[in-house]
Amino acid sequence: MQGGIAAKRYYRGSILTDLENVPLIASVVSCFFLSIYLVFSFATTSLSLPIIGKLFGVSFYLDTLNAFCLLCVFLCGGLFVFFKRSLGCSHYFLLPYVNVLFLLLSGNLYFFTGLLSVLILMTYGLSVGRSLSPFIALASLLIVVVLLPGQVGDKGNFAPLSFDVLRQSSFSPVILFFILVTSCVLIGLLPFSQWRMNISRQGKGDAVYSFMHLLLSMTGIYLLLRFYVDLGRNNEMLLFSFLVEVIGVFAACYAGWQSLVVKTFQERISCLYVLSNGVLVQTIGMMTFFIAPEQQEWFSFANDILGYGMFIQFIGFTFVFLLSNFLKETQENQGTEVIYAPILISLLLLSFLLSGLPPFAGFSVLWGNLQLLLAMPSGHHLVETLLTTMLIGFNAVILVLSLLGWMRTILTGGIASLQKAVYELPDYFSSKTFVEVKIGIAFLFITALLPGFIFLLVHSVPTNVMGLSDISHSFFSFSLVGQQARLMPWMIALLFTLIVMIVGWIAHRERKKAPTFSLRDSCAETTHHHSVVEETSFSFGQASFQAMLERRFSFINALTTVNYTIGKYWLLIKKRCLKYTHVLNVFLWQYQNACLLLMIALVLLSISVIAR
Amino acid sequence: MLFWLLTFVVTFLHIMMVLFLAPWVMGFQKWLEAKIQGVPAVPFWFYWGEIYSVNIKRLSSFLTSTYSYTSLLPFIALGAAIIAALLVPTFTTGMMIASLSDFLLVIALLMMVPVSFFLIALRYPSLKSLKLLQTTLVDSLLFLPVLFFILTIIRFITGGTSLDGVVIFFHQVGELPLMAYCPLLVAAFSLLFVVWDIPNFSQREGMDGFGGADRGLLLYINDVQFLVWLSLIAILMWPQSLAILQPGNDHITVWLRAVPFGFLAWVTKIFTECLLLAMMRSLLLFSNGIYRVGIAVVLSFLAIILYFAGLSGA
Repeated sequence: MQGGIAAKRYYRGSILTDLENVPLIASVVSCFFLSIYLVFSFATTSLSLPIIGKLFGVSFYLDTLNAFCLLCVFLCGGLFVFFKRSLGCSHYFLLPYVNVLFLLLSGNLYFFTGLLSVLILMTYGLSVGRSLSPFIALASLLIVVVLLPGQVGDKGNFAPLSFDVLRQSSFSPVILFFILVTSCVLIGLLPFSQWRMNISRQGKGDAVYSFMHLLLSMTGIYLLLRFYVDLGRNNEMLLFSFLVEVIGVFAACYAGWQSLVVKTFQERISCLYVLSNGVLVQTIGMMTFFIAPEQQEWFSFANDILGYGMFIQFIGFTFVFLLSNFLKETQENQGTEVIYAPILISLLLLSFLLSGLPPFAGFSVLWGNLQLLLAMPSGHHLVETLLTTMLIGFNAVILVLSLLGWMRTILTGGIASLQKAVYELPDYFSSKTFVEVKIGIAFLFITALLPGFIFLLVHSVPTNVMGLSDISHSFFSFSLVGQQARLMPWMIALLFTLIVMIVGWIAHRERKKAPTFSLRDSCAETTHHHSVVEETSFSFGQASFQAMLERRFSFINALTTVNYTIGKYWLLIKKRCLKYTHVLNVFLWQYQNACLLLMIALVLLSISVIAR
Repeated sequence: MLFWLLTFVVTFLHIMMVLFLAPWVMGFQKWLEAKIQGVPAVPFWFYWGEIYSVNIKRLSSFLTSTYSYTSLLPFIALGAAIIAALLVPTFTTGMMIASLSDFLLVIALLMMVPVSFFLIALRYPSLKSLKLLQTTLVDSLLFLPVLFFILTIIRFITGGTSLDGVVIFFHQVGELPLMAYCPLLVAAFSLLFVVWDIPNFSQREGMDGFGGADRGLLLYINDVQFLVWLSLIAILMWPQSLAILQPGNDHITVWLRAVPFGFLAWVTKIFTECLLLAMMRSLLLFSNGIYRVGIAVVLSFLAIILYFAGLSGA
């Protein structure tokens, strides 16, 4: 594998340039339909291979989680292959990709472990800093492999442990701990994103390094979900889900802080990616929290949030990493540090989607986390509320850090480049550069709105229009029951988009009607001047102008008259009362701090009086 | 159907009132502040006229503006402000889109406004206003923890985050539950630090460099945003004063009796907040954002502590 990685420097081939897209598109489409089918049928499929399965216990396994992750990874890989030529990289980066595909499909533990360790070692080959953390991941994975058969109670220690068997059993805390360590190293949370930072510093925006970032994170989240959500159904899990939660929170905070500290563009992007993964890991922690007690209705909500967040953030960051590669290419070609305007605008749009700016998708994920936190059960009321308060505070900090980090990333080239990009915004939408990226970003925005559309169709039409439910007593009142009300940000995003579209349409129409001339091209367009001159001509314009003046000033005049008649005496009173105002002002100015302290003391006193 | 018509009329009246009164309230606050500080005060009934005259300029330049998507940005901000104004009840609950009026969503929409202001400032060459709006943006983002704490308090007290839920909760409890009301009051006071900076926008350095196309709109959006924040604080200050609109004949008679009082209470609360804000702005002299953020965080955390104190007392 390392030889293959090193071969990149000598080999820039383009074999199967066009044919390779066909199987990728086919696999994406089939994966999409498969995941939809599996979501609705709740089925799992096991497929053991005839001869190799007999010899090595290799088998394939497919359920909703697999299919969803496969869809994400296929889309990501498809994008990278699509832009392969413009990124200037060869086919060899498909090796880890194929590895991850097999890993997601693998049906038993040993097959899975083997593929995962190969992936880890490949990444170790990428990071020339020779960090210790991949080996920590590998070691904890091997510990799990040694411990798990004894736990499950299978015959031999190295008999193939299929996931069908593993789903049925519950694990000891030791195994769960080591799985947590492995997945956190893979996601980049555990040595507090230092490993990933090293990789991104090494890669400087190379396609392969970005691709490995994405694959490792997806694998880590898959591992965490595979072992935590499906399997833990006993009360010992509560502690571990809380541990997952805490790791997610702290790692996200640290990554956000680092994104403000580090210097280069690629490092910032990498930090922000780790941050968004930390948010998802938080969701996983809360999801596992809800499995044990009788709160199954929140479980489906957490599942929705997780699926939505994984898809939007994975595909969104695929585009972000692609753009950072383009940035590297343009900077190398032109020899400047300035960010090319179309790239900057694309990044700006993606930052709206991913950063957690309110009505958009990133915020929806954080908002779902908040809702889950507020409904999080625990033993004692006080403990519950204190923990919830603390975690909500940290979530707020994560949101602020993410927004500031994205702002800093956008402003890497200085504010002048952003200004230039905003000037070129009309050209961005009409020009043909990065058409595919633009289409992809538009697709992501539409996908982020889709839950809102579905919600509107599925719930609002039967209840409000067809009157099929009890809550339709007030027509068009948008009455909602509790569970549906949690989908509200998407509704608001939809409403918002509609209003903006309507306003834009009106403005566009107005502009079409308007005579368009400026000083520059007034000589060129003489035909439009006619109407303007007519409207402002003396015979017509003066009367309307005078009417307008009267309209404007009549109200003010009336008020002034009233003011005068009443204010005659008011002025006298005021003169007497406010004789000593300047003394008071000087006093306050001299003793500001004392006044402030007095006010705070008064407020506290009044609070305490009310509290008593 | 009749009830729906009533909610529609009430919502329409509410939004019209907010949209019309917004510049007046802003002007009133600035007038009060000038009176307290002893500087020459612009009469607050001139303020609407100023915006009106600017808007006339706006119309003339709107027609000659170049084709660009960025000229739509102020309209995005206006849309966000108007939706937020629709969601925050002023004198009555049970308006047409009351089921959407979640505290978090109101915050989200109000946070859209500084972001779009910053993006609008990028269109113009004035570095002064760009710098000011960047600072405002970062400051308002730093207030997010405070807002989340207040969200938590509301959730703890009423069991939900909807604004109507707050009002209904405080109506249903027969006597005034002081221990539930006290943290809400402190939270309202900490929100006053959030709106601290909003009146600064219409000063010269804020509006420096904006063309006629956006100037009036930006002033107006800022005013609407200010009034929506004040209404939000007003709900937290005295939730019992809002009337509750529910279907049913007897409910509607009760509502009809309560509405004038609710309206009067809203006006009084807005007046009080303007006075408080003017006093704070002229006396406390915290010009830096980070101090205000710190005080607001401390106050909102104090509110949570007060909530726990109330629990132990019960």
